[in-house]
Parts: sequence; C-alpha cells; structure tokens
Amino acid sequence: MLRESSYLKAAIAYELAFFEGMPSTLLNNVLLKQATCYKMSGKYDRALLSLERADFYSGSDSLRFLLYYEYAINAMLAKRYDLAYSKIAELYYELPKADHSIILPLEILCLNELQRWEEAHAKYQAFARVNNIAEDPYPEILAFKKKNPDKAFSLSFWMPGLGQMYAGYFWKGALSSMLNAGLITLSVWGFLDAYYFSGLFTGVALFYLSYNGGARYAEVLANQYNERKAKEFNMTVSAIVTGYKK
Amino acid sequence: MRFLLGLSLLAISFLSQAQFSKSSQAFVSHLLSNKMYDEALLVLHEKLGDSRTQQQKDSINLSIGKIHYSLQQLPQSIQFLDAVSSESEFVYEEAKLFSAFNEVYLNRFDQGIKKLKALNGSKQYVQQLANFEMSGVFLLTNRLSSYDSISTLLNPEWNIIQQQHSNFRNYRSALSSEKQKSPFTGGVLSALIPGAGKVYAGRKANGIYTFLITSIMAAQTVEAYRKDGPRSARFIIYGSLLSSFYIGNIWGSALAVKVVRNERRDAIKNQILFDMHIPLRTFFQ
Repeated sequence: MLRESSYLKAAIAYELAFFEGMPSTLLNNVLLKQATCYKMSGKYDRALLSLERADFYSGSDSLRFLLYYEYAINAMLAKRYDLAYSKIAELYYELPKADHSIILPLEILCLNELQRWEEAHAKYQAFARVNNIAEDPYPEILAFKKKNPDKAFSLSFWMPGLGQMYAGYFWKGALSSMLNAGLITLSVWGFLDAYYFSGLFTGVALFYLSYNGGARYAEVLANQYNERKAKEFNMTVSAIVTGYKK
Repeated sequence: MRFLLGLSLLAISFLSQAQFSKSSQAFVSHLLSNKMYDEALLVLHEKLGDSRTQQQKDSINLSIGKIHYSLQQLPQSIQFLDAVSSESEFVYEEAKLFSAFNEVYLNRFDQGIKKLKALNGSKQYVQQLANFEMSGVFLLTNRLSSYDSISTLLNPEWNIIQQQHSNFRNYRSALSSEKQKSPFTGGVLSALIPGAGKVYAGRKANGIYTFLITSIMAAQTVEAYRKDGPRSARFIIYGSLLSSFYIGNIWGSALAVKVVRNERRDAIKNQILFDMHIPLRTFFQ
C-alpha cells in the first residue's frame, strides 16, 4: 500500500513537470518515468496513456527504443496484444539499426498470444540461437489441429455425444450418448404402452432439450480445448524465454 | 538524473504548499480533465492536511467530495461535503445541495430533505435549486400532494430547471395514473386459470407459456390416472409435479405483480434521479 502510494506520488511529480512545461528534450524522459511508476503499481492502461503523450520520433535512439519497448510491454501486460505487436513492428521500422535481441522475447510472447505460431517459431529460433537454447517446443503446437467448434456442434447433431468426443472429452460424450439413448427408449416405451402424453411430453421433450443442449455443449468444449492447449503452450514458451526454465 | 531529483523536490514542495493556490487548482483541474482521479485526490488530501484557513479547507473538501461523487463513491462524497462549513457561503451551498442529492441517491430521503431544508433563507437561486431537489424527493417517495405544493414555488421559466421541471410534471402524471394492481388478485386469477395472473401483471407471453406447461402436465397426470389408477407411482409422480407447479405459479403470479410494479417505479425513479442531477451539474459548472 505504502509502495503503491509512493509510485502514485512520483507519478504526480512527473505529471506536475509535464503540466508546468519543460524542454522537449526532457519530455520523453519524464513520461517514460511516469509510465514506469504506473507499471510498477499495476496500472498498465494508465502507463499507456502516459506514453501516448510522448514524441516517439525525436530524441536519442536509445531513449526512443525504451519508449517503444515500454509501450509494448505495458500493452502486453494490459492484454492488448494487437497494440503491443503493432508497436514492436513500428520499432523495427523506425529503429532498424537497434539491437532487436532485447525485444525478441516480448515479440515471441505477443505472437503466441495472437496464436501466430509460425511467425513466433521463426522468432523463437533466432532467440534460441542467440541464447544457446536447444529446446524447441513449437513442433507440437504447429502440428496441433484446432478442434472446430462448428464441426463439434454438427457431429453432436448426427450422433449425440460424438461432438464431445471429437472435442477431446470422451467420457462426457459417452455420458451424453447414454442419456439421449435412455430418453429415446423412454419415449418409445411410452408410445408402445399407449402412454402418448407421457411419451410425447416427457420422453420427446426431454430428449429434444438434451439433444440441442448437448450439441451446444460440444461447441463450448471444442473452444475450451483449443484455449487450454494454447494457454499451456504459451506458458511453456513463456517459461523458456523469460529464463525461468533452463 | 539531476533533473529527476530536482523534479521530485519540486513535487514535494508543491504538495506541501500551505496555499491552495490558483496554480494548484489549475493542476487539479488538469488531473481531472485527464481522468487522473486517484492522483487528484492524493494532491487534494495533501493540501487539506497543510491548509491553514477554514476557507481553504472548505474549498478542498468540496473538491474531494465532488471527485468521490464523480466516482460514484457516495458515502465518502457525503463525508467530505458535510465537512464544508457555513463560513464559505457559496461553497457551503454547493456542498449541501450535492450532499443532499447523494443522500437521496442512497435512498436516505429524510436526510436529503433535512439538508435541503437547511438551505432555507439562502439566495433565491439556491432556494430554487433546493426546492426543485425537494420536489424530486417527493416524487420519489410518492408524496404527490407535497410535490404539488412545492412545485408552485418553482419558477418554470428559469432555464436551469425548465426542462427537468417539465419532466417532473410528466412523471407526476404517470405516477398518479398508475393502476394499483393487487398481488392477491394476480394469485387468485392464476388459481382459476393457470398463467392468468401473469397476464394480469403485464407478462402476457409468460402467462401463455405457463398455461401451456400446466396443461401438458395435467394431460400427463390424467393419462396416468386413467391407465394406472390413483395409487400408481406414475400418477403420484406426475400429480405431485403438477401440484407443485400449480401452487408455485399462484405464488409466482402474485410476485410478478409486485415485480412489474417495482420495475415500472424503478424506471421512473432512475429518470427522476437523473433529472435531479442535471440542474446541479449545469448550475455549478
């Protein structure tokens, strides 16, 4: 709490300097420091607002590089991956002679979050070469075929439970098949015994609900499966590039 | 580095200045226009601790109260607005009006009225605003005769309240012409014809759906009774389900009448609160 309050006070100090005016050569420095204060207190969107007031096209290359880097990292932390990646691309264009190896881990993580695996793999290979890392987790994700939610939905319409099995949840699919088979049996048994109302309104109605609900659930499960795989993979790569896993 | 050190010293000296000077006010305005509310509050709290005269304190308390008001932190807003003393006349009046509005927003109508009445004897425009706010409270609490008497004191030509005063008259008509539907009648109607109570409450589609479901359940119960007799498990299960649904629907219909009535009142209430806020904002900005 105390630490957060100190960061806020420092951010105010930088804002006051901005408000009272200063030489343009110092403006970027002040805004960069202010953004750092906000970043340290977890206010990433506010850090982005500070940096948006900076002039990315003037000053020394090293300071400009820092501005781009901080903007990208704050956008990444704010889960605005498109924005982070566009700033990294701008950095490459504006500062072609800078040492880009520093920005590589960020770029890899960003591309992973955007699920642009092939581009991320190329960047990862460059990163691995520089850092002597033999491990390459990408072949698995590149070979991974995403589950198609529409296909899961359609499969469950053809045969209840099949969509869940396709989505990677075999037992949920098997349970759905058995439930729907039981409801069909109940309906047929009702009609054969001349319980027309019960057969129609209990058996058929419940089957209808279970049949439709099962297909929608299969769609949800396919999406969940894709998201889980991507998240697991991103965490693996994140552990490697940030140095937590040697 | 030296520059940054200098900057920090500048900030410390700024934050500890005893005067809540015009430059400080301008900086706070700058923070607010950039939606830096936490920062503005911190600056104001520092200033409040350092202020020496009552007028400075009042001015800062009003600002803090209004920031909390913008952030919808109404209890905190009231706390700071109520700390404004009557020594600073204009600031005091503004604080009292906003504090009263906050009380009303928190459904503490009596507190709101009390604060508005405390402005009796103020300048004419403040009195007009206080009376206008009070007329809103009377509408919110459905005290239509009190509304009628206080609205005669309002100047309908004053542009600050003109539109909202006209809106209030419409709300008054809507409230007085509202049919008082009884939850009891809703329940009785659903007991006679399942779903009829919901139609009476104003939920036509829900009523028809309830009627269909009850009919289907009744058909299955009758079928079980005719084929298996009254002691069969099938009849007991379907009969129990039907009974539960039937009784639940009677209770649900009575509830629906209340819910629909409250929804309608809430919609008007939100409109009234919105209209109470507009003149305050317009006048004091």
